[in-house]
Amino acid sequence: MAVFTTEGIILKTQNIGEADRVCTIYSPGKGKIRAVAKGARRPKSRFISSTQVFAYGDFQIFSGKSLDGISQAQLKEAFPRLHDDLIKLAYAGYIVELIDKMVGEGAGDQIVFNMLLAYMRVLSETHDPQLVTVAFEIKIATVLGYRPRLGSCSQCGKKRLGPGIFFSPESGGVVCKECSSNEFGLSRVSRGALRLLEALLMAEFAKIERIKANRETRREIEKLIRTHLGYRLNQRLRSLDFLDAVINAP
Amino acid sequence: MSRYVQPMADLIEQLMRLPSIGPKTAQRLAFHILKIPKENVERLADALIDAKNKIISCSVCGNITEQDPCSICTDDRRDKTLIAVVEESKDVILLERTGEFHGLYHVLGGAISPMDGIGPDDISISGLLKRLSHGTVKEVIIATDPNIEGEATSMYLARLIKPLDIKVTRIAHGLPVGGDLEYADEVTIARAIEGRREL
Ligand SMILES: [Zn+2]
Ligand SMILES: [Zn+2]
Repeated sequence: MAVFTTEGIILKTQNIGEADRVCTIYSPGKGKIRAVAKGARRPKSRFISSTQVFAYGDFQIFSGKSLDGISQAQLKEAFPRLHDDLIKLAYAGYIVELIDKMVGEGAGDQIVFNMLLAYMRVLSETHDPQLVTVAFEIKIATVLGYRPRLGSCSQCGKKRLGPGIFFSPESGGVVCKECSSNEFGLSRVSRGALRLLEALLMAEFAKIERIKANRETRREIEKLIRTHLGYRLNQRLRSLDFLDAVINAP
Repeated sequence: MSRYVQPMADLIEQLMRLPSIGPKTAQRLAFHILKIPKENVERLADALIDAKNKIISCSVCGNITEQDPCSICTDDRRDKTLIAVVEESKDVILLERTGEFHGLYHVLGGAISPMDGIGPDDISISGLLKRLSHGTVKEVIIATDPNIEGEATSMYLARLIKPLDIKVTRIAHGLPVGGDLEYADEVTIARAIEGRREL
């Protein structure tokens, strides 16, 4: 029976059986791992806190017949702020679903892992979860090879974009006014939004919250990056509905 | 499954549809059913049909009941200014067993689970808000599970209820984070009701 130990972050859990919990763990070496923690829902279980969503820890995994199992789990960080702040919980829930959908099993990536861990740490402390989250989205898109083209037209390559700039999810970036007529229903983006996205991409996570941005520009970049990622993923993430419900609640 | 005669294979298949019953358990139960007297099997079958036919959910609180509204909602001795919000009907049984709670209940029928696509509209939140709009209720105790779904639900409810000028509390004390309410013992739950904190 193969056993290995890895650090990881819990992306998703699912209750099965009497009191078991199947965890989807993102690890730097092996990508996503699905493994069951036996009895993890019982109050006295040794797995109780280490197998919750967002938990960062060391996991000992053994290969099982149909499903791998967790034989040991050592919690390193629990991120309690992400559990007791509704807005942060909604953002973190979206990001773990994004990672779950964007990376495959067996596709480990130390950079993606470090970035996710940094995001959870910064999100826990920040007073600006919105900008920190968009920063993560554009950074992760870049790392995974989906960096949106923002500096020049994605269709004709023109660098000096005139007054009308549009975003085309299909082209994976902005398009000039002339090229925008090739596609139907593209939304316009402001220069301010593009500058803000570039700034978020360049800034360190810890310094994101120093960046100032008004409400409209924030909405614009959120919409842009989510349309971009949604097009790449070819699906709408379920956690986005909850995020919308929480942000737009009375 | 083809090793079995058809009726046996059917029985095993049906049993396997029940929660936490795998192929091995289903097979063991099926053999047990074949072994016991016919009357016992009939009683079991009758109980299943009877329960399914007679039990409905209370149109007020959502708890399972034989009559509508349920016996708790119609009990005059209960404190109508207090509502405990739980995820499932089985949680009502747990709280009742402690003997510490004398208010009414509201069964949500689940918890908000952003990553599973279960949002506020998928559980009975609007029904709760309607009950609160009557003005009788002074305090809502949120007794959802102490895990992330239960916490998300509790925080979401608190945000909706607080503007109504109703006190919102959360049972917490003694319940370890990450667990199911179901596995906590009565003493722990009773203490949790007493030690609730305001949200
Ligand atoms: Zn162009
Ligand atoms: Zn009732």
